[in-house]
Amino acid sequence: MSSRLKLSRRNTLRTSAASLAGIALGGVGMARAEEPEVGVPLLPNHTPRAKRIIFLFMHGGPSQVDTFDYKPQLAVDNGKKLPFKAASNIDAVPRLLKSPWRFRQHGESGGWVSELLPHMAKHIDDLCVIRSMYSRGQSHGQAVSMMHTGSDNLVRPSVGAWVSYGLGTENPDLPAFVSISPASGHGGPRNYGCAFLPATHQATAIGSSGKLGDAKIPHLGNDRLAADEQSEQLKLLKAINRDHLAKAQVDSQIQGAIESFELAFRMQSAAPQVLDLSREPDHLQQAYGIGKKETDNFGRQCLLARRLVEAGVRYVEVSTGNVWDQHSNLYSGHKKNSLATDQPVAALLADLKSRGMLEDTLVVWGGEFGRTPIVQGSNGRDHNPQGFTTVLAGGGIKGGVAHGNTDEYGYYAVEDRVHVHDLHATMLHQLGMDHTKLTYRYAGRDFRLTDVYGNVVHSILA
Amino acid sequence: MSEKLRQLESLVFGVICVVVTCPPVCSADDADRIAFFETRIRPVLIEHCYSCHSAKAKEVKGSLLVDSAGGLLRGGDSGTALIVGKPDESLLMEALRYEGLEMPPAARLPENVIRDFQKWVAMGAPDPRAGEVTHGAARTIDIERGRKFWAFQPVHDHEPPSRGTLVAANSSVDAFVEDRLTQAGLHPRPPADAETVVRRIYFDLTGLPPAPDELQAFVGNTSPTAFTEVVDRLLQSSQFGVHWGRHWLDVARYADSNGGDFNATFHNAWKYRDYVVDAMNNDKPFDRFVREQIAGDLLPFNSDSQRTEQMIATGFLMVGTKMLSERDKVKLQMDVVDEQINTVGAAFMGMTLGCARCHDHKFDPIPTNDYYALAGIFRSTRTLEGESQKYVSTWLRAALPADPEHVAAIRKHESRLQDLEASLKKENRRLTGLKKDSAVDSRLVVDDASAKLVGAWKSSTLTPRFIGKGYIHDDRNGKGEKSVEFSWKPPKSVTYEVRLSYTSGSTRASNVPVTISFAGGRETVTLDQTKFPPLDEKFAAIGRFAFDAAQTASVIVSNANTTGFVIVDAVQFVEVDDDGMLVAADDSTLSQQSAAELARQSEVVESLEQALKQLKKSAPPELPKAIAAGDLPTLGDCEVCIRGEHSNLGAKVPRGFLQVAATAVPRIKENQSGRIELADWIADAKHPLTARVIVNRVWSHLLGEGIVRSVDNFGELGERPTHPRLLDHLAARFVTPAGDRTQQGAAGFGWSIKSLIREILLSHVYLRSSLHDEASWHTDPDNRLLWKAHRRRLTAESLRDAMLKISGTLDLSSSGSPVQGAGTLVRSNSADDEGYQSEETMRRSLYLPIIRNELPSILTVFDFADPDLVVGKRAVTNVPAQALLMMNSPFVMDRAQQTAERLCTDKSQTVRNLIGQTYRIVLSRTAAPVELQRALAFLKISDPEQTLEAEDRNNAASSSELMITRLSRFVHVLFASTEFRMLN
Repeated sequence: MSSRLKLSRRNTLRTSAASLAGIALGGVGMARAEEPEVGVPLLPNHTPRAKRIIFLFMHGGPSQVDTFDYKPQLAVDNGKKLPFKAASNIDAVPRLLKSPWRFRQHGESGGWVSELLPHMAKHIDDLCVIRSMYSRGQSHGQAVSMMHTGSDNLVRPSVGAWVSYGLGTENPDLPAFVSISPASGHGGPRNYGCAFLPATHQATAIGSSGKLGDAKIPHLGNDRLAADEQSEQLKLLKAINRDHLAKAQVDSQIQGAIESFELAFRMQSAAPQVLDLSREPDHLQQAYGIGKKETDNFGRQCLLARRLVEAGVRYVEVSTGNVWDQHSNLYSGHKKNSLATDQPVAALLADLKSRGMLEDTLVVWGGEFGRTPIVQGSNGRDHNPQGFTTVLAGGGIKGGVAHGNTDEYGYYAVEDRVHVHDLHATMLHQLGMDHTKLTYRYAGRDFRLTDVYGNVVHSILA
Repeated sequence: MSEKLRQLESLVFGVICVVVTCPPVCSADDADRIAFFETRIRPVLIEHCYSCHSAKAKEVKGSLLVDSAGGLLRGGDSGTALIVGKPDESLLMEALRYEGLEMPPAARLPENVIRDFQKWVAMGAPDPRAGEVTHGAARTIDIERGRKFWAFQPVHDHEPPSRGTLVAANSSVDAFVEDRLTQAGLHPRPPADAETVVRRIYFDLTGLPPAPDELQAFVGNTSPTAFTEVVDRLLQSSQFGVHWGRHWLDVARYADSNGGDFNATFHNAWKYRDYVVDAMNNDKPFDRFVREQIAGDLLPFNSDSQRTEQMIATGFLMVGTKMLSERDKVKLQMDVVDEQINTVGAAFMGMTLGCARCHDHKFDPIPTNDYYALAGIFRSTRTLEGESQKYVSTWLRAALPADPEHVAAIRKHESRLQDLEASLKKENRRLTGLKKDSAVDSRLVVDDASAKLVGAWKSSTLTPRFIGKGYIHDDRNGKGEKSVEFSWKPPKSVTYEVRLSYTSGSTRASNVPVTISFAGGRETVTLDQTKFPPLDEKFAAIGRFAFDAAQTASVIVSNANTTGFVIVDAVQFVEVDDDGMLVAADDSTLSQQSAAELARQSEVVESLEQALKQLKKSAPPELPKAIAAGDLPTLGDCEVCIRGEHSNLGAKVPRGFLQVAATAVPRIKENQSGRIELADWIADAKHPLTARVIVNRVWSHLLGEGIVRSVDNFGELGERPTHPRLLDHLAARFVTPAGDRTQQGAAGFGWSIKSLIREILLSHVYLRSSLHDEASWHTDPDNRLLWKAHRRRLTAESLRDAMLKISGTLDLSSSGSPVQGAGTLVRSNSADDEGYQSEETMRRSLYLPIIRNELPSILTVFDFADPDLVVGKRAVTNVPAQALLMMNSPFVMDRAQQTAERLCTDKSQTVRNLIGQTYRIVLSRTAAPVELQRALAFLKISDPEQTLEAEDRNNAASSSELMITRLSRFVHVLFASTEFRMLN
């Protein structure tokens, strides 16, 4: 092969890559196969424990003290004044509000879970409950951005985009990063965008705002033309483009465009099958709560997530939509949200486990922040980035473990604190990437997901 | 150096001297203190700190070294780590205590260890490692050395190298390019053919393809001035500004909404967009353009229209994305300032200034102090103003000069509005009073508002027809725990019919227990609330009871043993006479007189409401406003935020510019932000960056790559110019006044973008063919020396606009506001929001609403500039989404259909002609014979000489449509082709 062809082939690989806004045939790791990219290390940096991540985003901020962070003292001192300083810029008054739900220990590990989440509780021995999370950003916008991009104020690539950039996809016919029903508010596409990373790394969105809808990818199919009509067009197109290339003699861009057309039509046939949930057996659909009013929507999202990761998508985010934000009506709101998500999440864990996929799939459950143990209104809790809970499962993370602690009321993370940057560092670490080495040079700087922060939480690694 | 820094330095220096000059062990006392260090402090430092903060660390974090006494005293990026004897003022202690900084990061050290450190600092931080001061952590920037970098060198014109044969007479560009080609032994490609060239210049100057007759006119014109004529004509086209304005809007990260966390509508941003388009069309001198965008609100003016234009120009500073809901407003302000510094730096100077927010720039000679010198200017600028809701900031909407008549009309309207609203309020009050009077005798009704509630009842007004302000219900929970007690003092000792008011419905309880206490005792009856209350559509009777005027009666409604919602609204008591007849009938409590009065009053209110509606409709247009900057009343210098933390302030830095590119310290007027001075400095002909950066931007749009390929980064990490002398030659001419000449005698452009474009277009370099050449390719595969033209992509806008023009549906009018009718937020943050729905428009893509987070997919898929970032050069991607959109999007298919219809109007033309015309209109060129054959095959026509009429006759009844359908699929394929999407 002449060096000329080799060069254009490499360009094609790089440019025709991979989400629906671009399927990466390979991320950094594969691009390196021919020639190292400047500023990018050899990937993976170490043996990966996980091949993929599913992030179950509980948008709005579920309350830690009503779910996984059991605080008996909170009930004892219910209604009393908070004995230390409350965070600034919140609307809650410093009076303690006990959880309206009972907590019980579950599994061999005896982990505490409230009665809100009876299905997830059954998996407690597979869960790592990080009770000492903390973040930056007292409002949703900042905290959501922080959780998704590692920055609370600046435009940065999202975690999934970094993963796509670092590892590419396992399946060239599918995007590396899919966001199911992403919220349009609180930054919207920024939270699954690629910022300055190549456009191929942004997520393909399916559904919106917590609703899966008809689960379609835009322009993936033509309602007006029959298959044979379209294939006739494609034949003509191929001939016209070949002419163009022949006239140009050598042009990696034309060649890339031709290849991306071919890729597009492979996708057009591959993707609909992956998106088709009716291919799953009835009993499994039922296990996810599909067909039951309360759980149908989130159940379908979780099942779709499993089908996508199984088909080779690296990073799938599933969003509830901004529903967990109970400034008031804590009781009814949290109850409704738990009802909608608990069974599907548990079914996803069980499903992954039964397929042997939980071992190398990291599941992350949590919101952008938690909620105050002090009361807002009569039956509400305000935002709390000072201390909250994120739950991990699979992907080389220890199960049956509770990591870190908040204070006696569940307000501030005080022991073995885990910042969102640390969570991100740990997620990348499980995928075999060193968060300090996964960099991208832009505007005169080498950028990282974790900026200049982040420490892998080694003690929770299996 | 600032005063504070100087003090700090002398302090630190002094302390080091003390430590160094004092013999390590002076006395037994000292020996104890050193022993304390050795046993309690040093081991901790080694174990917990050295891995990041010693000379042996793989990477020294925060530029701090703690493996020597000097290192601790000198400190790192956050300042000195310890102040001897003062633990509470020492950063070291703050970090160990996890107050702000948190060190070591893994976990807070045990309390006793922290106490040891406290004690150690308090006793004077004895440290025998005094002699081991290591260097290398802190790096200082040498401004003088920095000035030697090419981009900071003054611009000098260069004499064009001796002219060769391939040098266009009208342009000085070729000599510089040819010189380098000759040196490299490369032969440039010949000029492209006329069809290729005309497509290139039409797209390059207007973003649109030539119409077939324009193509014909050019190709057929053999006059030597033909090319110049077209260039000059297109430079005057109003579409020039639409295309070139968009290039600048990429750099200005223009959008019609805020994006970010709170997607607020920028209702007036479009005025800035139009300002940019007009500036391009009118060829506003670029230095003026710079000044107006940075400081237009502060510039002198001769007329209201000039003032308006200049104020709107400052929209440049305003349209960035902001985290509006950030509750920490100081942080938010510093983030906005940062965004402005980044934008101004990259847009005008090709500098990445954001790096210097937290530390000295690691690559370019830009110390943190320079950043905060600029930050002082922008922190003195009003960008944000007020809140749109709690915690959510909003921005300055500046009043533009208004016609006095307009102002008077508004005032008049407002006062009429006030009057009318006042009288409506008054009449409404009267109506309410009358209604109350006419309603059931209040003495005989007890509303839920005055009842005693047990348990949690929810108020509601959801179902209409209730008494008073609303009703209450039990929320279908707490069954058996809730009740409502109405107490009533009967006016007479007679029998009353007791009635209960409720709103009925199928979800209601059918067996609501109601207990009545009356003169004779207590009785419980049940009420079915699923049934409609028959009396006055409000009440249902529940029985007749004798009451005693001396005894308080009560009616208790409970939710015990019920399943549906229990509704409680009011209780009514109606007197019953001895014959069992109701004394006060349901609807006759109203006298005829008062009924008439009520009706009259209703009419009065109604007519006032109508009048108010009319008045509001006929409101004069709002006073003109702009999203524009202003100066803050409190202005001044800014403190350095150590490591970018606004809560960790260092010394104040006098407002100023980049030292490396400044010749003198500016004198900023005391009562101004300094934006005028900043604008003057940037727009100075002698500024080493401004002219180079814009000349390079223009070059890159016309040639496909910049002379400096990293168009937004002229720093150390940016690329070096491929033709530095050419860049400087053009930059020198650019800033030289029109009519004047450069040192080398070249004519000045007087900051005219159009003159610059013309100079480049008239060169041979621009006209070159993009065809491959094996030999040249081996020597220069990236075409850095411009031996051929770069084949370029059409922008997303050109792609869309071209399809619209070709299909005959392009609307060339300007849109005005693309977000008219949008609320405060284009899209709310609730999970149910359906998103921003924009109307379909056939206008040029520049006029599409640029809603951050909701960009039109036809733009984003084809690499539209991300409006959150300064984008001088758009990405070029080849992603399947592009292919899918071209093949499957209804927009593309509709344009193909319209194009086919348009092409087929002339039925007398031959099929050959039709195919030829199709190629000319879509690809701006003649079809080759093989292409004719291919098209015939696709259209399933054998004889090209047949007319469309004849073809219609030969075929089935609907054949004319069949022809259009086939042709539309053909056009569709041409639209999707790589040739259509590129400029050869």
